[in-house]
Amino acid sequence: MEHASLVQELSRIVGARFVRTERAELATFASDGLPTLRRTPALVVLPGSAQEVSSVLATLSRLGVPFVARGAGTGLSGGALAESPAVLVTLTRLSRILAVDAANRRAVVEPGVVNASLSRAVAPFGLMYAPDPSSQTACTIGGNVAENAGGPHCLKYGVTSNHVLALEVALPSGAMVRLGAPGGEPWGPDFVGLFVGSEGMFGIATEITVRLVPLPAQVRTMLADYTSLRLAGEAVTAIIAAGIVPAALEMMDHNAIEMVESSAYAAGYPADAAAVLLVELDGGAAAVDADAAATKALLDRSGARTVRVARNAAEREKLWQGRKKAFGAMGRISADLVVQDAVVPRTALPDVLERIAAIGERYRLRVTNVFHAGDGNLHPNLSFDASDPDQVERVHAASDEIIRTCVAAGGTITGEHGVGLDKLAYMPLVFGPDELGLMAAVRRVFDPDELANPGKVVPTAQCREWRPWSGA
Amino acid sequence: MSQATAGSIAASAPSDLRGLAAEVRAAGGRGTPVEVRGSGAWWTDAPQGVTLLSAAGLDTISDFNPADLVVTAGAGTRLDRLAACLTAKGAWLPLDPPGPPSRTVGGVLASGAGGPLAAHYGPARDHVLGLVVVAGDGTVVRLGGRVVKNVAGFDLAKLVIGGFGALGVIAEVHLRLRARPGADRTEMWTGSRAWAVRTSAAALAAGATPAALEILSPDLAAELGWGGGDGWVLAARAVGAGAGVAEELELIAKAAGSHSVLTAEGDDSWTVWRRVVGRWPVVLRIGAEPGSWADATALAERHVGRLLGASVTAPRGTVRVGAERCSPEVIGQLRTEAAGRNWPVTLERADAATRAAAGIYGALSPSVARLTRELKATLDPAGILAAPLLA
Ligand SMILES: Cc1cc2nc3c(=O)[nH]c(=O)nc-3n(C[C@H](O)[C@H](O)[C@H](O)COP(=O)(O)OP(=O)(O)OC[C@H]3O[C@@H](n4cnc5c(N)ncnc54)[C@H](O)[C@@H]3O)c2cc1C
Repeated sequence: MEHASLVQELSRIVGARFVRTERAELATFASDGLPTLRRTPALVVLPGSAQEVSSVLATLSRLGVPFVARGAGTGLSGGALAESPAVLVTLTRLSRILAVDAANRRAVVEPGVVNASLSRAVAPFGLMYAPDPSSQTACTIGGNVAENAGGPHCLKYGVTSNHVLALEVALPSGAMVRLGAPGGEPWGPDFVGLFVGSEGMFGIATEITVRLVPLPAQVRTMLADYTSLRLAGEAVTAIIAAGIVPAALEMMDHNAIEMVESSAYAAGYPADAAAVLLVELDGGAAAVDADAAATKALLDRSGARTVRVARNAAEREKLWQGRKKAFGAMGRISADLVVQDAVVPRTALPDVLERIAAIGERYRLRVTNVFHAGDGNLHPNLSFDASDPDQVERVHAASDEIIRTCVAAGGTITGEHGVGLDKLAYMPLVFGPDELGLMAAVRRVFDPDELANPGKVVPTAQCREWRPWSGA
Repeated sequence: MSQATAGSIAASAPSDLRGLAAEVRAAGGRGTPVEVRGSGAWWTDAPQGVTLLSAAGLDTISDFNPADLVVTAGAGTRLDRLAACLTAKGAWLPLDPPGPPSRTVGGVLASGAGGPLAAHYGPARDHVLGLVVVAGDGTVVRLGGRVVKNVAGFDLAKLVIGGFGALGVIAEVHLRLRARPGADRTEMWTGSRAWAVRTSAAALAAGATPAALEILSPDLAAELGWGGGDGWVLAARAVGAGAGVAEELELIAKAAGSHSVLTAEGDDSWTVWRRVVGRWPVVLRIGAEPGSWADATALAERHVGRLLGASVTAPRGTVRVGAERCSPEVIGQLRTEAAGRNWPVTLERADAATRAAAGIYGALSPSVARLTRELKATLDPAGILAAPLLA
């Protein structure tokens, strides 16, 4: 296919303004926040409606041109990267909240709606959209659906897949299909559950019906600081085992505290601490009082040096500020940052954190841990300078060891950022050829020509070919 | 129609994964379709020409780490045995599907069922971290994992859960648990249907998030002994710290505008709910919305005629209705009208002939039906797993 005539066909659908072909412009779409990977798409198309998405995909399908969906491009796993001849289909123009149905606690949104803006829009109804990735001021609901995104408050409220009721999807052929029912019951097999987390390889979500939850009447936030990572890790298990379900239970290690405290976002964390735990409880006033008292007692007994309870909204904001701005603070001290993402059983946290620290030392890399401790979802962040090949090499080697350590501890290779390109090579650590082959085969049910986000998630070379029944 | 239980007519009851896979492969070789059974208490008969394959022998609880709140159990593990094992270590699986507690964990996941606790904890799918599944060609696949957050690869387990054994045989499950709550109290209120509509809406509007908020039709309530009179019953269950439980129930009492007629501690009364609803010979699950449950029950009554009862998980709008019998034609008509309101109707339970004629899911939209057929052909290429999904 002639590039020029493809541009022309797509321009007819979305308008010439919304087909980008200039090199400089394409370069702005070449990354998804993962500094070690850049890919330049053949062109970028920005449809303005579900109908346009469908027409764009139908055209690409007819021409056999692969495509990659893109929301805000904050994915961190290379999932939203397209390499020519693939076309990038960017959904940021589909940013309308189509309906808020407070009585049924749900909203219908276009995929380009920014996560935080949905919660803002439904707050006047006393509701919120619970999944709150730390990137929530930028990332889109469509991207959240594709990645099955989590966030600090997913400990209590569940991840994206627990909050998506129904979907409208443009299949890679351009055909539109509705999955699930607005009430949330599956309609046939649980296709909504399957689509959430499919990383853009089953089609493009063009309309998303999400569950909303009531804003809690009361929120209580506290910070405990520790002189050892191990004690902090053990406190996490103690809280959950006591039957307390904090809204959030986050941990930051010494390096993270130091970076935040020496930045403009200083939150007043004790700068010499080995770790801090940020615990938030929410719910009815009496429930929060009871849980907060129990949590405070547990933290005191767990060997915390101090436990500070925020007395008002301003103090609460301040305690969260360090956590929320941690990535910004880290970005300030080094040119580049790899945000790793892996999961271990909660009880393995103390051991695994120690092993990760040792790996960092061995590769002479600064490792900073800022993560969702209650879920055992680690984010070891590696600071480096991407222009130094030796450092890049060490970052790869250290990442590899960290992931293997987590898998060996009974965990997995990603808890929320997805496989994308970054984790492709690690898939055989957690799945065999049969599972990988089945994933590829199920994907072909939606995308027989394998046009949607080709080359991601499933390492083709490691798949057993999932053959039709041979009668053997 | 045979009323024999799965146990007595099962052609085979392998005791481990290898045996289960071998049976599925052998069935494929013979070309004889199989249906999977757990306890045999839910689908109690077998269709003509179908061999039953019992998973009841895979009943080992192989890995239970109370501190991580994760358990691994064979698909044939009975829910009551699992619960006893968990309770002893302070853990809890908040999954309370209809049926006797002798139902197996695999059978419950295969039917996708939740119970009243789905209001807060979600249906079966929300408790599953991973599955070991035998596909229709006998291949064993390990889906998901054993940690509470996991986005590695596509979430294929979701297809098998609620797939009624037609999209793979569940052999083993990894479940997410909660700590057993300190306090666990249920209160019941009673009134007219219109009152129940107003009260459930008001409770949700006030921000209530109880563990369960179930609305019961008068006949069901009477059978349970929850109402006494001939009114509808709203039952709210709250769990957690004592003070929080009282606070949550107060919120609902305010919406109800009256004193509760009954209070119960623990889950004994809900076990009775499970047994009673589990006796309904035909069970239909309608996926309505919180604001339209009354319409959905009325619609079911209009088509099915006399219901044995209706039970509504108010915060989700899931309506479960029971009947002595219901013809496939009636189910089809109910589904057609429900589809006009965007409500799926799943045939959770009926005799084999009705299941076959009506299909468990019924007629799907053409595009979803196509996806379902292709998925089925992928997961079960020889069409050996016989449970009839589509009409
Ligand atoms: C500082 C920072 C903090 C973060 N914190 C978290 C966190 O706490 N929790 C968490 O889960 N993630 C986190 N992330 C990762 C990321 O923000 C999430 O994965 C988010 O869901 C991505 O959304 P996006 O709109 O940026 O998607 P993109 O990066 O644009 O795309 C991600 C994937 O989704 C696909 N996609 C996008 N839109 C659609 C659509 N409409 N239909 C189908 N497929 C689509 C793309 O093809 C791609 O594969 C963080 C990232 C950063 C940079």
